Amino acid sequence: METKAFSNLMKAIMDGKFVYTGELEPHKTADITDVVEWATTLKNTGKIVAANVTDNPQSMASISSLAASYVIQRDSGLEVVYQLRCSDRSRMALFSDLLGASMLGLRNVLSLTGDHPATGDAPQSKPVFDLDSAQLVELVHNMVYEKKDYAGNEIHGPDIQLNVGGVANPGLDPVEPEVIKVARKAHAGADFIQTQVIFEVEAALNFLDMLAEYTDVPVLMGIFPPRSYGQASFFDKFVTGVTVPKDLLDTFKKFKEIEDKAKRKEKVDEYNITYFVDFIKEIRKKKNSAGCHIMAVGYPDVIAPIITGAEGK
Amino acid sequence: MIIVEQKPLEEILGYLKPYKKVLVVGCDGCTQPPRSLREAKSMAMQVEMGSKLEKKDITAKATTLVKQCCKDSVAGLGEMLEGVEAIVSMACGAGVQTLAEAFHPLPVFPAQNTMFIGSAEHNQGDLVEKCQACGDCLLGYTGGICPVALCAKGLMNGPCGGCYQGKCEVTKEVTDDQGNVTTIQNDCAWFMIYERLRDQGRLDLFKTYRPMRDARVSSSPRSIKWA
Amino acid sequence: MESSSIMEQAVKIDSTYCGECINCITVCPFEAVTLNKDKNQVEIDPEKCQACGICYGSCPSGAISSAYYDIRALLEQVKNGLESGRSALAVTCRGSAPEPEELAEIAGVGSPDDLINILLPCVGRVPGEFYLKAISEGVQKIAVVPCGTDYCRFGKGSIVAIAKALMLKNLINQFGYDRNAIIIQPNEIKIDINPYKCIGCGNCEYVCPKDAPYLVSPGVAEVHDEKCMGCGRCISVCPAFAINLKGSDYKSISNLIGTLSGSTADKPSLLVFCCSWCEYDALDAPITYEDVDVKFIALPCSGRVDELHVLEAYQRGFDGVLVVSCKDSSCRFAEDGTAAETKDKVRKIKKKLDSMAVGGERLDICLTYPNYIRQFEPQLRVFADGIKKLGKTQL
Repeated sequence: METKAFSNLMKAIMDGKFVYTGELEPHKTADITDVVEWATTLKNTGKIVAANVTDNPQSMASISSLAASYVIQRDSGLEVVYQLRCSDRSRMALFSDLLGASMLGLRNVLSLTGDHPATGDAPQSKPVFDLDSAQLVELVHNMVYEKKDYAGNEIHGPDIQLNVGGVANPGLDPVEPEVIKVARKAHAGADFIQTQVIFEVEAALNFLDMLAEYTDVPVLMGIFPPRSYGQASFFDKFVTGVTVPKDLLDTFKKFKEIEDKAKRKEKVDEYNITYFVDFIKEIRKKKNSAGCHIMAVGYPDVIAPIITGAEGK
Repeated sequence: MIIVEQKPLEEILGYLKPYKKVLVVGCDGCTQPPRSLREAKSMAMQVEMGSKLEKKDITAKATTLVKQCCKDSVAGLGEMLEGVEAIVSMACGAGVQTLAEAFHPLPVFPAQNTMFIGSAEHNQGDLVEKCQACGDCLLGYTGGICPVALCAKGLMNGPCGGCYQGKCEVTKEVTDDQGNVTTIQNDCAWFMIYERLRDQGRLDLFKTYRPMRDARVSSSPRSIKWA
Repeated sequence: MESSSIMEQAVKIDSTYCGECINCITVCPFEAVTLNKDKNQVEIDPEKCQACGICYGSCPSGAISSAYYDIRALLEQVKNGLESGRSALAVTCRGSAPEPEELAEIAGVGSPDDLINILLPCVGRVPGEFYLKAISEGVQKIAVVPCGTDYCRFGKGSIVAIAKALMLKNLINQFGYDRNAIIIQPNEIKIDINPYKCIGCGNCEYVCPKDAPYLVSPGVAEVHDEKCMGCGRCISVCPAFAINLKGSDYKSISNLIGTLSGSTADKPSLLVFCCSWCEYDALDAPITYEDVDVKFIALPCSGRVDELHVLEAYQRGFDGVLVVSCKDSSCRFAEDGTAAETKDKVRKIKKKLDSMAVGGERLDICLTYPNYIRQFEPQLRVFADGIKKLGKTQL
């Protein structure tokens, strides 16, 4: 079936452009002014086509990602990728939220299984997981292309306009079961894949190659330019599947010794730009590599230079 | 087997406050650890001695049934019930309810918490969950490893991104009866499924997308026509 | 409960009398006796020694001494027996002792009252000299009742005992006695499982250190007879009272508790569940105190300690229960010891006692090594003092 592009993101991907997405994280508060500001900053770089709005990340409930997505897109003008996890909603709740999203003009939805509530701030909570991320992808796909709900009932009225993405974690060890799972999502109807942060270019290339054996779904590789040694080592130690190369860690450790803050930042920025420009240049050689998802929340300074660098020949 | 865990004696004594003559009924059926005559005797003694703490004098007899969940066989309690004011059942929830219905208006109290359907990992002395009685067995597709019972999220299309080196992102803290807390990181069910199917040369099953399940088969209360 | 006093070995060797014949090295089942070539003397490694006494019984020069069942003590028993009109002697391993009537039949005497009954851990420890002296003192008949050769808890004890007895039969024959004055009758006490009671839970299969019981369809346990070593651990976990072990089944011990609980009116009373393979002194001549009443029940292994019996002890009026278990390496049944498991069992019962009108502090476990003497009594005294302070239970 011909994939339809409803969002700018999907249009760009289908036009063969190498796209960049950003990350927005609403908090446990009813106010998202700061997130809108960050979205505006991303928009103003002129290089970010859309940004993800997270849904209760790490199983700590924050403001509804549907409400936040709508307000952010309306107020900043930046297209959003509305994230939706299966941890907290049954298929009925997911479906009704998706109808709402389509009505509100959200055009990208990213399907996630979601962290288990036991890992978050309310381990007492009952996990839902009525669907998993692949099944959620299928639900969206059926809504869009068949105009059917979760039980095959017809959806009346206007067409549903949503492009659905899936996620992947290319740094997992071993990676084969992950690759097969991502292929299942593609099979279920995922329009694109965004990945968890990855630092090692070899692993990223390997993942793209392995996935290409199963499907040609476009992949946006996740990157995270760290602002400090602490941040880099946090990812290395605590984020599942993420390994930070020793060279990078060592260099960032050395930067810690630079006392002058501005100078230190300059060094860090410079390193990040070089590192990720090289990284992106490598991965975009792969056919199924469609872009980069840059998760540099609160670190705008390097985004534009990285993208400019990667776009230059 | 049905895994059970004894309730604190205080809770059981709490139920028994209004009564003086009690019958403790074991079950020879599927409870694990076994809750037969030995455990019933022990419970009877615990109740008797425990009641002295409250300056009470409960007399507790002990007996056992082959299967407490079998309506026909519980009738065998007959004479044992003479003068008895309350029954303490050592069975799983099904047994307790069968007795409660069979001997109404005699009150029946559970001595156990019914935990799960599981098996004994004898080398560690652990009893672990294996089946959630979901009503739609998938084991034929998953290499004999149940993702409903063993995946923390019960995913149909795993593993999720929380699986790293075969381990699940979900850890649980287990407090033993000495108060020692150990953190257990579960094995990722989907990773085990992957390995098993790979080793059996059946990865095609792992590659197959599994659509949404029909939750009706697992929606309580359930019953089936047997005879 | 841990012992703190100085460790004194039960079996020692005095090199001044040793002729380095290395008999002891040959018979030791635990490789505890070695020849130190530098010093040219035979030594006993106290860590490996299990105080079975087999070396003691095999030493031709009297260089080895044993704190338990020394020949003089044994002969004293014989003399006393002869004086009270008994004419036959039975030397029996406590690990497989037949009932008194059965023993009388083996010895070919009319009643158990005609028997001088010597019960000891391993018949292999008895020196040949003892039998000869007993005969010369006037004993008419000797029944030697070791365990079956594969049932010996010390490995070689039974073989040594039988070989020694056979040799003595020939020897006395040459001196003109009837060879049948010495009767050899090995015995074994093993579990049997009542299939009509068994509920097929598999508990016995799980706890057995020797993998003797096994489940068969449709849900009953059977026993590999040759594997059972009679520790009784399975009985203490059988939910259906389906397992029997002569002398150690639920009812026998329960009855014993009832009998022992009779005389405890005014002073606090203790019940000691003691493994048969340690604290021989305490079992043969139970320790008594003025201020606290102490009763002993010998178990085939501390693994036989039964929650029901412990609870019953309190219900029948005992104020404290002490479990005596061999320390890990000394366990006669399980390679990794029984102590850890028994400790665990005791801890769980203690917890239950806490929620009853008893209190967990009235139960304790005491670990001892049979190869060190005088370790137990001080611990018993400490426990007795504790119970004395607590007084009678509220039951």
